[in-house]
Amino acid sequence: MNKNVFKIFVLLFAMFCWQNLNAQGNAVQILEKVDDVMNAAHDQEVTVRISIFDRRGNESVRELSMIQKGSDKRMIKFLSPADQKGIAFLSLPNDNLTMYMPAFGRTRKVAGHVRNSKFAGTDYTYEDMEAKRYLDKYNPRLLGADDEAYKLELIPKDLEKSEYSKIHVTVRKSNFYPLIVEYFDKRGTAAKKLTSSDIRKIGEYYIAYRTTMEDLRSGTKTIMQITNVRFDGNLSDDLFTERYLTR
Amino acid sequence: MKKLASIVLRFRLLIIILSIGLTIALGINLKNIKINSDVISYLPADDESVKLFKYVAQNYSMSWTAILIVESEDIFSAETVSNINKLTEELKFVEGIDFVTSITNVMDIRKSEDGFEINRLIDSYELPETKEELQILKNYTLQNELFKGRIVSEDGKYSLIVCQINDSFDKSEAATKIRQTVDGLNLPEKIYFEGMPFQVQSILQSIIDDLLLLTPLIVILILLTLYLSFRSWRAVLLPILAVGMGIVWTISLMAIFGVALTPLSDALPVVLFAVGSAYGIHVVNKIKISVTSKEHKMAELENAISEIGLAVILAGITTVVGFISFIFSSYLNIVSDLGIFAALGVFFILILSLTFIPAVISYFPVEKIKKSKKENKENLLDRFLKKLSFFVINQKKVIFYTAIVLIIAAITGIPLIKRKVDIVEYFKQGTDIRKTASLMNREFGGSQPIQIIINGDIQDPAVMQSIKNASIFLNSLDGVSNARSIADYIEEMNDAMGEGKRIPDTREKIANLWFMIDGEEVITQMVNYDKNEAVIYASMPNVTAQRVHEINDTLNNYIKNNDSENTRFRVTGMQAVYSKLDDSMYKNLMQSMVLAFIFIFVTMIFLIRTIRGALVGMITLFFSIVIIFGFMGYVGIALDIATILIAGITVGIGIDYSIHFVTAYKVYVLKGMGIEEALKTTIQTTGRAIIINVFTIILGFLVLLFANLVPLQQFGILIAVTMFCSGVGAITLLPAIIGLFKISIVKNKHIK
Repeated sequence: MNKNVFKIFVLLFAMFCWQNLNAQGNAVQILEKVDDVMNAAHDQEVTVRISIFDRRGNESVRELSMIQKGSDKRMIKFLSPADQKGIAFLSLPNDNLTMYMPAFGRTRKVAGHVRNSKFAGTDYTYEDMEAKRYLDKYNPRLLGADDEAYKLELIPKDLEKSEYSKIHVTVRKSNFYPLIVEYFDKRGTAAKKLTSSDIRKIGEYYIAYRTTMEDLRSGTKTIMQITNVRFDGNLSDDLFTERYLTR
Repeated sequence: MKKLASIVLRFRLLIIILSIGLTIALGINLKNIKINSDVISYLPADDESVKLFKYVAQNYSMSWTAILIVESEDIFSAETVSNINKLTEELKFVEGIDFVTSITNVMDIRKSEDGFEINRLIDSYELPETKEELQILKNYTLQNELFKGRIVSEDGKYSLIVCQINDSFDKSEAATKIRQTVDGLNLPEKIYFEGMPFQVQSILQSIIDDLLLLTPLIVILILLTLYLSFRSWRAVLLPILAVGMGIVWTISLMAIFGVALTPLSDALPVVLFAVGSAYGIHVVNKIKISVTSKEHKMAELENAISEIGLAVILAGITTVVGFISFIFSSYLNIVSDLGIFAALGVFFILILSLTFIPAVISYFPVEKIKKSKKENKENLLDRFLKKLSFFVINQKKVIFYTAIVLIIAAITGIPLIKRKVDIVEYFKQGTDIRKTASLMNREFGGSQPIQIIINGDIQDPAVMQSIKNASIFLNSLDGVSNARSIADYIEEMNDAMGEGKRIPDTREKIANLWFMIDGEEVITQMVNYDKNEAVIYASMPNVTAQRVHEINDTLNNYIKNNDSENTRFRVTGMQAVYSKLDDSMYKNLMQSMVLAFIFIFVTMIFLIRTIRGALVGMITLFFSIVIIFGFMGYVGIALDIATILIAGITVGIGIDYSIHFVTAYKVYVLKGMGIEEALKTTIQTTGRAIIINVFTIILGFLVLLFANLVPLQQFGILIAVTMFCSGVGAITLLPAIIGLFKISIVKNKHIK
């Protein structure tokens, strides 16, 4: 009788340990899958409508088109508002960023932005915009799961270089697309929240047509709405040159 | 008067019960009293410059800046840079702070060979550590117009951390939280706290300290003086009790009506004690002299009340009027608040002195006058008064001419009176606030904000150029520095684009450049969302009222001359607020003095019934007022929000002694005494109460010397001097003039 009880305890303990180990393993695997889903396409071409809301709720709208090849070649062109139309950025490997201002008719190299400064008036910082895989930057831990989604906690590998102390990511079980990303500041309070919705499958890739980034402290908000998207269109390397930037 | 006296005695029990009951009922509200130390709220909310100042505060979060000055041997040392970074990051989390700006997060536009970068001056993720990096940073910063003398002092020993406090947040609470945050980090660098929120916080603390320290002190002092003069606890406690009850009623009413205490009205208990105790003293003194027999106690009491009643009422009413004159002539909310409640308080104390005090006394046995002592050994004061009365009557001319010489001397001092409006000067020399303010003035050109608001299409090159011109103009003014605006950043970026440090020539270029800085905090502080309004900020040190006026006038002229269809200019800032304050102080002073003079003259005519007689009374008043302003000029006590009250109070209180003197004199003349005999007798009897009262009040107000806030201190000195002048004037100059000119205070037919 006593032995049996002991056996059950050992069994339960073993199960618990295994589960725990499995959870850690799972977290890495889940994040790996997330990274794969997010970076699946060879190249992409999107048109985005960006709505920026200030703390008083005023909305300003910008439209841009972006082409990207791999994870480190990217060109962004602004289509509106009228007085900023044609402003363009070309981002090439090794922090090489060139900007074109049509009113001046010339390009300028832009030295690396500070990671925590905002990108073009949006609620995204340059750190948020980095086209890096999650797993390269963070150590994941599984916080829990329900029928629909996993919840991961990501701790920056280099805390000193991040404005965040941790990130919580809610990942949809069915397709490993991150639905909600919560950014916590160094005090451990939630600072920003990124919500993805209207997730569609285009060919074999998933993409969220609508993403909302909220700055929880200042009350500002940026909504990006995809109006057009094309994957794997075999974009030529010639597109990612200064000559094309000024066109 | 007789009627009043008999009513008081008939309903004596009811009066006592009612007075005590009211005190308890009202007193319960005392705990609800609020303290308001927000300087801007003292100004009327519908004033244009105040409105505009608040508008900038609400829309650009820029009016309430709490500034930390970090002191270090070298700001550009690895340790200090890292500490400033730590502090900046911590302060961002303090509740109520909208923005924090320091060297570790300030925007920096740098030109490089084939491009530019819009960056932070220091990358907070890669703080410079090596000597070389730090030296490069130091050289760059101290050569950049946007940083040198603005965020880092020219010698590199001081650096600012600027916290913008949300307009809707309690400034003094924010200041407390900032201090706590700084203390919590325990940094080796010395940190100074500068700016309105910290000053407001210190004022708040001072008000609390003053109230807790000064009120008990004044009670003890008055108790002691009274006891020494009357040697009767009844004479001591009753006036104090009446004043105490009056104060409780007044402050409770403030609490009930939601009127907060300010650095001015926190003096209310002290002022009421000093002013109000006189009424009770006169009543008690009169009763002591008049009521001598047990059998006729009630009748004698009634007589005493009716005899002293008119004088006390007139004395009280004139003081009430003195305070009411503040209400009608004041631009400042705090002054009119003080006027209303001081007038109410005096009124309450007056009523209590004439009803509550005699009602209580009527239940006491008749006080035995210690005859044995009195007859054998006359009181020192009595002997002095006797001598004085002979001196005054014999040396009428000497007294009269001395007074004239004094008046002339005082008049020459009046033009020397200075004015001050800056709240920094509320604090004593050598206090942290003062030291920090002069450090700020020396190293960073001061922290008093000046703001020019421009309406127009901000991205239009012409409008942008006007912004630039206005900020160049601001910097060209003596004492004004650090003018900064959106134009600075547009020029820097234009330069980085290779087109030189100037405003671009097309709207498109400005719009293109704008793209780079859109959404930056610093831009939201300078331009509104619709880009049709911009603010230019500049600062000035703590300057004199005169300089404030000059700057304000120059700026108003500038905006008038440059206002156009496409570019509208408005100006606000502390120079506008202070100019308004200064003007209104002057106007306030004049109006309240004229008002008070007129009313008192009317009162005197009513009392004395001859214009000549009334003029005599006014002479001593005029004497006191001229002396007091001459004193201010010579001693260097400036006119400020507290000392402008002096005129009204002097008129109101200063006349009291003359009223008492003239009333008593009239009684003696009516009793059949000759002019000189009546004067002598009045000096010996009423003179006693006057002298006791003068000394009580002087002692009372000198307590204000211990106040933490300078205006209050100086107010105390001035009241003491005023009381001395009008008291001494009433028992020397006034009888001398009456005797000299044989003025019949009483109409001829009354004189035997």
